[in-house]
Amino acid sequence: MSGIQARGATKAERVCAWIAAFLLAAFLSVTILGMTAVQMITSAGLHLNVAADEGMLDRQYRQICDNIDEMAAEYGFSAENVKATISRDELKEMNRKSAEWWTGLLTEGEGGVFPRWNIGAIQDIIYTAAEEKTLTEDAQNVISDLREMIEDTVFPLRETTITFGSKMARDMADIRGIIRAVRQLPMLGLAASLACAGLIMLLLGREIFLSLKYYGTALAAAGIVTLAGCIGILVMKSDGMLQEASAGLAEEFRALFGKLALGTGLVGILLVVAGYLCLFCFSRKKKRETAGSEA
Amino acid sequence: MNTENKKKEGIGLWFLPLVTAAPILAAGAFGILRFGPKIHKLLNILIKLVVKA
Repeated sequence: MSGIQARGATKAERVCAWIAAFLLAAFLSVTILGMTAVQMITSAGLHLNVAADEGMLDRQYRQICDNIDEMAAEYGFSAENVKATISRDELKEMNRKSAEWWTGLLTEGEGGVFPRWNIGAIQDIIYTAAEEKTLTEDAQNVISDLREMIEDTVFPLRETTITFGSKMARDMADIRGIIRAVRQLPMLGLAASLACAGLIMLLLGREIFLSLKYYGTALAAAGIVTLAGCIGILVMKSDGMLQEASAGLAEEFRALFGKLALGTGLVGILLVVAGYLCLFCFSRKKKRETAGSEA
Repeated sequence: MNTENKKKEGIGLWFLPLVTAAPILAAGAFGILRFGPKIHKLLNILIKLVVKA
């Protein structure tokens, strides 16, 4: 037995410290992965960040332009004039408003009025085409189809179903209270982790360097589990289920999961580095003590 | 303590995090295998319900 262990901690204390270290690793990894899930559900900032994703805006703009070309060929209006009324800034604003509506629904249980695309400029072009008698359909139908197409590209979900579902959920339960409770869950995990860390300190308080072995193991193990969770997020990112349902939504979720995986992965790497640093310090101290006792 | 034992203990120290993480990962894998397909099916229904085709 090394000098560090021989001085203070008994076998029972070390066994208890191992159990506490295992629980610390479990609570810490559940807390971090839970924080990621809570962030995905309730973080307005994250959703607004995804809404401003340049790659996603490019794809939406291209898709809207392609759809306008198809509709222009079908209904007989000038595609170029309609395309000229759609700017990336307006698209970004619509994405931001949709994200606000969505996160309002997720965090407060109420999203307010669903944002609508401003069709003022499109209306003028379609009415001009109607006056020139180039339109094959009723002007109002063409305008409403164009608006619906743009809104569906930005927000490919049925807002009426979501609003109705959230209203039903609000009638059945206190959604705000539940969301507040869900937000507190990672804090509970963090408190449990701190309690386990405190227990290790209490058990091995006399041996700071020995406790480094337990803290290091727990931190690195939590990091490994977090990194495994991060791989899980990346697997979800490439899941074909959403792609089948809607390419636009799959793109939005890919951007969201990409940002989540990056944050979680960084925390995982930090934990592994911190854990192995503790183990390295413990190993060096132990080597020095062993060398000292042998001399 | 002879050199071989010291070397073994030294190597073991670096594997401790993996040994500690293994039961947590196993529990996670069990959960995914046990409930994953059901959750996937539920999500599929939910997506079909709210996503515009």
